[in-house]
Amino acid sequence: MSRPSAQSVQARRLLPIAIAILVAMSIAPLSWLGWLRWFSSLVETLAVPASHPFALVSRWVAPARPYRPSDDAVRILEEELEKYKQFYLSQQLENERQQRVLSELRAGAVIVGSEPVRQVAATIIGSSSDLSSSIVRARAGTKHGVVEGAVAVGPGLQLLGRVVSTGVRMCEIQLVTSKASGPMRVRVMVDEAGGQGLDCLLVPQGDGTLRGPIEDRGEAAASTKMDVKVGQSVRLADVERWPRSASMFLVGTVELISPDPDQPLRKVVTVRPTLKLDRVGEVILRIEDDGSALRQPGKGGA
Amino acid sequence: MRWSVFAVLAWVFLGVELGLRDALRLGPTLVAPSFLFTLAAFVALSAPPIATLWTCLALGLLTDLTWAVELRTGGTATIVGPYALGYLLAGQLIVSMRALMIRWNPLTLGFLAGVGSCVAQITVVGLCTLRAAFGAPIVWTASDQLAQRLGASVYTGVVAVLVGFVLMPLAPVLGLPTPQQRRFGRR
Repeated sequence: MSRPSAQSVQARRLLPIAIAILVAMSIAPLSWLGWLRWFSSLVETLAVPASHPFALVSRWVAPARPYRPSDDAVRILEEELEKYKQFYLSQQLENERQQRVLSELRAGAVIVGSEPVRQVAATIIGSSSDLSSSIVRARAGTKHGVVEGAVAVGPGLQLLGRVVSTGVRMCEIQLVTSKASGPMRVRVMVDEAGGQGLDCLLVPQGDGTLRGPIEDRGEAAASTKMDVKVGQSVRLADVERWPRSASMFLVGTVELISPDPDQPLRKVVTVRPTLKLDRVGEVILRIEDDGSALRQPGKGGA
Repeated sequence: MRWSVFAVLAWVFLGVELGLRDALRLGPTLVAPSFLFTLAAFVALSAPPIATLWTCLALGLLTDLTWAVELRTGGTATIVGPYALGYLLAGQLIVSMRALMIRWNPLTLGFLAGVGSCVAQITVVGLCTLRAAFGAPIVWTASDQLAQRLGASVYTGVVAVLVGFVLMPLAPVLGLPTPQQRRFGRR
């Protein structure tokens, strides 16, 4: 019988120490583990050359959009149309806001001006190793001017999510369908050309959809004929939690309308994004120059 | 075991895990195969016990470091431990069971990868549930997670059968004992 080598004996002795450290770290408070972020970034950076080719293959096999226009010109026109629609509707929302601000100004409130937006194109290079986390990683970081809270937009100006963490060369984007991303105020566009819609507070369900009740419209609005239908587009209208520049970006379309279990006369809508968000290969990161991180619901603790 | 070759293989499998795994998931669930665990199970099938445990620990650590744990308060955190300990326990289980198996068969790899992955995922769920119970602001629902992760373990076992056809010819390159070497060693 051969004697174990000195290396093997040392490895055997070190193993219980490693296990004890791991047990301690797995129950230690999150605030003590912040320093692990550096190692995490290092591993992610080293993994990029290996993960990126596989990510490209996977997005080729299972693309974000089930339907893809064959003609590039059609695709460009569709994106242009969506761009102008978003611009028109966001200006309309901005007008509403300015009217409110003007009335507040009369009462002595302070106006916050709109800030310019920079756009950074980034490739999605992979996701989290554990799929319970709806995080995708994009190849753009602080080196490219990306900050926490920047808004990520996919093809067709579909709202993808928000940057929750940045490294030097990459950043992590939390998808809007993630339970952790929290509720968002949206507008169901009943009459898109007229900019008319019904407000709604959507909550991510964790299954790729968002759900929430249509808000009470009040008597004046209820007198007009505004009915929610399946297929209507749903746009972001949440200046409290999201940067103003993200207003009226497409969140998805109405997939299901059902009565509220607690209040049967009220309607609950289920909204699904127009793309499979975790399958998107390229994103545009929109960064407000005032540092849009200010409107984040909260910052990561570790 | 040739650690340099193993490091290259682990890097490639980490790339597959991060790049390809979400494309293989079943709908919007967590049910997706783990390629890194398949590699851990393959090493555990024939490497010496102490090398197996360190290998599993290292692969678990890689999984922990690339897991962006979402927080209820927004942002993400890195937690080291759940996967490293889970893979370690799974490695120990495979070392204990491998003597009863026909080792050089992809079906054996599939079975052991499935069973081992169940153990690893139960450990992950246990540790994260403990952390959530003590007030850590992580987004976590134990029952949902456990059911879907057990599904993912079965899926890992099925995929491991296929990956076994790729990994088994690589055993001599990795410096793992093959059946021929074992027979020769007995004489």
